[in-house]
Parts: sequence; C-alpha cells; structure tokens
Amino acid sequence: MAALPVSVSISPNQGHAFQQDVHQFRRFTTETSRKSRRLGGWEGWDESRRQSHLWCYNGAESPMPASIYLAQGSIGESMNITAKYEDGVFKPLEDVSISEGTIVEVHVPSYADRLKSKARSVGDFAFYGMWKDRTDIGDRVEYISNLRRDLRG
Amino acid sequence: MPYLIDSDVLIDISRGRPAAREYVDALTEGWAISQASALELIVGARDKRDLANIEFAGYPRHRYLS
Repeated sequence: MAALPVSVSISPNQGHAFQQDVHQFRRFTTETSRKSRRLGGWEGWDESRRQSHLWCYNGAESPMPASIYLAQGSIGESMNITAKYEDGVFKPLEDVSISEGTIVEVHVPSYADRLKSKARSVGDFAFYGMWKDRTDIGDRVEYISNLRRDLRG
Repeated sequence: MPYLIDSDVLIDISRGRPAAREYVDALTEGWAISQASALELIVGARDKRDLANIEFAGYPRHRYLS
C-alpha cells in the first residue's frame, strides 16, 4: 500500500513542550559561537515574533533560556512525515525528534491531492509502447470497434 | 474526480504515441480506465507479458471504474 504523507504542524506555544529534550538544535546569535549567525537585533521585537524567528544549530551553547529550540526548522514551520494509520493511531514511519506528549495537527491529503502526489508519467509504465511493433492494429478506432463487435458475439 | 481514458487513447499509449502520453500526463485530476476498456486491452493481449503490462505496473485497482 502506498504511503500516505501526513503533514504535522507544531504551533509556537506547543513548541515549548519539547524544549527540554531536543537532540539537535541550532541557534542564531553571534555572542556564543563562531558557528552562530545573528539574523538581526531583537530590539523592538515582541517575544512571540522573536521566538518564532529564532533558529538553533546543533551543539551551540545558549546563554538564553532554552525556550525556542527545535529539532527541525523553526517554530511555526511544519514538518512532513510519513505515517501509517493503524488501530486508530497515526504511527510515524520515520524518526521524529519531538517530545513525548507534544500536540500536533495532522493533515491528511484529500483524494485529489493524493492522486496528484502519485502522479507519474504514463510513459513510465511498461504498457507504454508495448504494442508499437504490432501490425494487426491499423486504425485504433476501427480496431476497438471490431473488438467490441466480436466481444458481443 | 479522475478523467476516464477510453480505449482508443489507451491503444495509442500502448503503441508509444508521444502525443497520447503528453495528453494523459497533462490531465490535472488524475485518470482512470473503465473495466470495459481493461477487458478490451486484455482481450487484445498476445501473451502473459502483455497481460502483466496491462496491469499498469500495479496501479491501484480503485482506478478502474466500473
């Protein structure tokens, strides 16, 4: 069965739930490490905007409260993970670095979206071109008409 | 709602006509074939290899519309 991609979103507030045990984190600030970068001054930024724009990097020592570190991306960004729905539970099929108990929103693509995501060229099928050497099929419409007539008996 | 591809277009695809491939690939809502068209292709199959190819490389069965 084809895997169904499930989009998981973590809101800024819910991001606080996994601040304690994030395994890989990055942060932007020039004060603590040469590996760091600063996006700009925080003056004039309110707390929510500041936190939602901070990024962290792996191994940085933070002089700041560890309230804004994420495993992947920044707070407010969504992750796309592959999950299997089984016994009423979405089970991720890959490692997901978020804390136990983190509340996520699950977006299941519509049937139309799934068709689009699965889209592949018909030229990829073995069916494409398999009858290119046939000489008994002249005009395709005539061939189909004869076939239907024969099938009816 | 997927588009329903009729047998004549499928024949063109089976014969490797680029115009048919481009036409089907350009459909925005996905596509399906009827069971009648599937049967017509199966009847036209020359051997088991043809039959296997008509299975559309494991295309989900729900895309065959009855």
